[in-house]
Amino acid sequence: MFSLASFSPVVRWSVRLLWVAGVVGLAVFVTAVAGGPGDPSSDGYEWLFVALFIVPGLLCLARARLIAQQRLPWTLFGAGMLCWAGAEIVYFVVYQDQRAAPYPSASDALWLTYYGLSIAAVLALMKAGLARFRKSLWIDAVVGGLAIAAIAAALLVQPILASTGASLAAVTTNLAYPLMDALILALLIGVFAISGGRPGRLWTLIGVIWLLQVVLDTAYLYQAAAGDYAFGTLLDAGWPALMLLLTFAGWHKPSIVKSSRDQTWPMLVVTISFAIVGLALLAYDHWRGLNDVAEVLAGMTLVAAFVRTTMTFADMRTLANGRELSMRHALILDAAGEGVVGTDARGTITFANPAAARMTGYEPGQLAGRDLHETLHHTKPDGAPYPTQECPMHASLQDGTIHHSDQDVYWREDGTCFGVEYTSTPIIEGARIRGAVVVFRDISERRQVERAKEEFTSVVSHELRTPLTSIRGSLGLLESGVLGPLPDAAQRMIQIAVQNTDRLVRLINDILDLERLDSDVEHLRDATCDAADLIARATEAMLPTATGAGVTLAVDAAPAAFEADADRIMQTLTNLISNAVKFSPPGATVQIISERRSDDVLFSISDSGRGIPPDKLETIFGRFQQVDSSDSRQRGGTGLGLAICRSIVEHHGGRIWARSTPGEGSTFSFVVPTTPDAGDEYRPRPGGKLGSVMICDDNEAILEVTGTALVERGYHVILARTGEEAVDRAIAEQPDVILLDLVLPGMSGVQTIVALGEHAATQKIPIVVLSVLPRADEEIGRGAIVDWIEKPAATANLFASLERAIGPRDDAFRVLVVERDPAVAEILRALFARHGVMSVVSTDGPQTLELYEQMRPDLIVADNDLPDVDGVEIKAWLRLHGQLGALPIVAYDACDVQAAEHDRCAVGAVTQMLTKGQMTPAELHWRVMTLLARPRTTTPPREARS
Amino acid sequence: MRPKHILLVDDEEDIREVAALSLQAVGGWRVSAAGDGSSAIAMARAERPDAILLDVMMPDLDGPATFARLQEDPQTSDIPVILLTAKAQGADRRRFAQLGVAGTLTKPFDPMTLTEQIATILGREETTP
Repeated sequence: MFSLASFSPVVRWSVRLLWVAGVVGLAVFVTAVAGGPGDPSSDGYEWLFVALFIVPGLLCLARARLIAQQRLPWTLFGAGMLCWAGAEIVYFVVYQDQRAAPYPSASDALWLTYYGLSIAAVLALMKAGLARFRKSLWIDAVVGGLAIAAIAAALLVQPILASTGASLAAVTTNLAYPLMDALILALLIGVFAISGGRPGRLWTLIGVIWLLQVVLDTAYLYQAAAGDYAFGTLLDAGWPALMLLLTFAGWHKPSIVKSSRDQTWPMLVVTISFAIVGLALLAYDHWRGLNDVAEVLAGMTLVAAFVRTTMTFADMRTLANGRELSMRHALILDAAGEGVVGTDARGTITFANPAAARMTGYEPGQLAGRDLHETLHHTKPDGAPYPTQECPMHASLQDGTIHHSDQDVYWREDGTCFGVEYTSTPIIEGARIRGAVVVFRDISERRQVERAKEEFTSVVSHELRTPLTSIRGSLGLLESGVLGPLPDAAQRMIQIAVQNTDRLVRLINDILDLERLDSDVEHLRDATCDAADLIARATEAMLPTATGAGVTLAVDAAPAAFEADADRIMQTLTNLISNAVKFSPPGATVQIISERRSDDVLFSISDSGRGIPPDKLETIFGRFQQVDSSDSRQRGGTGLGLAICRSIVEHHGGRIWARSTPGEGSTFSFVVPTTPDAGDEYRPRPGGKLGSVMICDDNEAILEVTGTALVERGYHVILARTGEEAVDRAIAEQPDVILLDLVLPGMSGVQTIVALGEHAATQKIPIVVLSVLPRADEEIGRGAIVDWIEKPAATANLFASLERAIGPRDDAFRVLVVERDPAVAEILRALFARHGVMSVVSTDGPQTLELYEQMRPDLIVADNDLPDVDGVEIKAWLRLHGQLGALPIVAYDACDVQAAEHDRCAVGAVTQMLTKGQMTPAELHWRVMTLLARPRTTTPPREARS
Repeated sequence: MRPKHILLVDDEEDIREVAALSLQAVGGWRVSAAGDGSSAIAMARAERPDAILLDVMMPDLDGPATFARLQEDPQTSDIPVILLTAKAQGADRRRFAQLGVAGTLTKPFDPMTLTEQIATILGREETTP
């Protein structure tokens, strides 16, 4: 039961008083009518009777007003009861003799309203209280209702027809009551069937009440039809009693009725039972004769039951197919050796396969409902807490891209952990991230093997080198002659020993190097490198060797930035140059070239040596594969150099190959991919902070230029090349605004606007026309057209128009950049745009304050070196104007902040004080992003840095 | 700076002998030799060499640990230390460089250029403020 404790005493006592009034009134009425109709003691109790409907009606309304849950059904019930009271008043006042009442009377209308409202209330209760409210319930109610009505008609129509003289209005009115009862009863039977026979206390109570109501209504109709009914019997006490009981049910706490696992069979049994009723009635009709109404209803029951059964069988087949499919999927997931975990958009686990449970030590099913990161990933391998913001799985939910890691650990239920490799893939539906699937495997064994191998490598390295050190040292001293001269033959022998010791050392170095590369023990240290710079350094290192061999090094290197481990690329270059020098005849030239290409940097080293036979072009990159087996002795190679080169290049995601014309020379080339640039940003991705814009244009150049500008700005961009595509994708992806060209192939721009306007899902999306056609002011405002921009459009105009069309976005971060140097401002703006942060640049103090008023930024990044205003002053101004809340300001300076400045900062003006020269744009950006990541309502702690 | 006196620390007697011979014969330096970290520390305190050539992998007190002890002691903290290692991998070299040693040399070394290499490292050390 709901408690009244939280309400005011007036409310509490009013409700209690109504209950007491209802119960006492009912008791008085029952005592009064106990004697039967016409008992003088019951005279004058009509008004008490009316009051007995008003009281539960008011109680129902009070319940709906006071308790938030299921307001609608109880309002409807309450209103229905008041209608009943109204019907009784009309009945007593207007039709004092029942026989004088016309069909349908005003009382009938009010009574039937009560039934209508009750049906609506039951439906509303079902909608709120059933875990799954199915549309087929309607059909079930119709089948059941018809069957019950057919029975009622078989029993009632004859006497009613006899009493009312068979007028259509009379028959319809009198039949409406059992039909309504039947419908409600059928709905309740449906609830009973759906819940698998366990509908919960509230529904059971309502079911019993309605069953009694049907009994009362039938009894009344029987009596009325026979002309035996008169007010003032115990029958009359039944209705108010049921109203009070129904009200009592309303004060029960509702529980959600779970659908039973399989609703098909109970529903089938109910439907078939009704069909049998219909058949039985028709059979009875055949042998003994029934009235027409019952006949028709029985026939309709049979038809409806047939339709329902057919639907059920169709449902069953679909269900069976679906079940088989999902069983097959479940089997695949169950059999998978990898852990598979599904999460919702907030990172809560919705599914975990048995392997996931086994690896993490949880019972199957125990993982569902928990937060994935908090449960398995809460702590880093070193024991430090792992903030959710840093979690790659969480990142998938944020940025909608795939994240992978093999550096983390997962924590088991018993508190132990294991090394894990996982891939987190977002589930994207339309433009929204619905969740993620994380596939993981236990790699602790692999890590152990790696560690063992690393240890072995380290030990071998030490154990082999130690004796070699003594050997090489002794031989070297002997060879040098510092210990005294040696006979010529001995000198030669020592020389051979030294050369071969050196070769052995190189071999060990190369084997270990290759081993380390292949086992991933040594991770590549990626940094931005310049191709020309690397070539210059490698050439410089190789110059003595080349000069010694009489070989010229010719360099043609173009600067090209890319991410790589500079030492390793240098190693590759020196190795290839060394090879080229080794195989070049004296006086020859080795060409070293680098070239920036669209997705990679190409390095080529060409020699004019003896060349490589075609069948060896590939095998030379294998271990101990040389063109001539005598090469290692003659040229001093180990046979591992090219294998190391290939391993290094492939670790960078590149490719290495050789081309050669035997006798004329060879060219070794390799490519290393460049950093993905703005082209990758261009992919539609969810989460553009400023909103999503669809650009529909058949001109690729415009799509690219405008698209890039909008992505940079922080919009999510959807591209469409035809009107048809625009309409389809607008329906599916629901952009915030559509930029539309009017001249399109196929469906024209105007037709597209019409098509967008016809579809309910797109008619509200504002359209900005972007066309070479001159602006037609009269078109603006027609349909969804909010603006018209002539091509070529200035980006500023475009942005302004889009901002007007979409309106201010509360969820987008806005940064006001105060910077005089346009180059620096542009860098900052691009950095922010990449993270969907909108930024506006101001170049001086007055403009800053004006822009602040306009945009109300979340952060100000200010150059301290402005002529008329600086970060400290901005903050002072803001304080003066009462705006100094949580707004963080980052002030940075071109020169070191002076002590005096420090003092000013310490007063509390500036959140972060940064120095330009000592910080990369990336670091400034990182600091700014950290500030933005803080909750916007708290004041960030003060921090000063010089 | 050309050191006159160098302390050589290696647990391998052969290497001590070869290296000592190389430094004496080629460089003309005075060489003291220690076979483990603890005696190296004692000798460094007692003899105050101009530089220490310290093997990395030694039983008990290894090279980096010995270096740390030497750094803690004000009597020896100013003596430049060069690590001598059989581990030639980039990652190891970077780790050693972070310890604050004057330099790292790899084994096997060329006895004819060992003194030159040491002198180069120490010269670089001297010119770096």
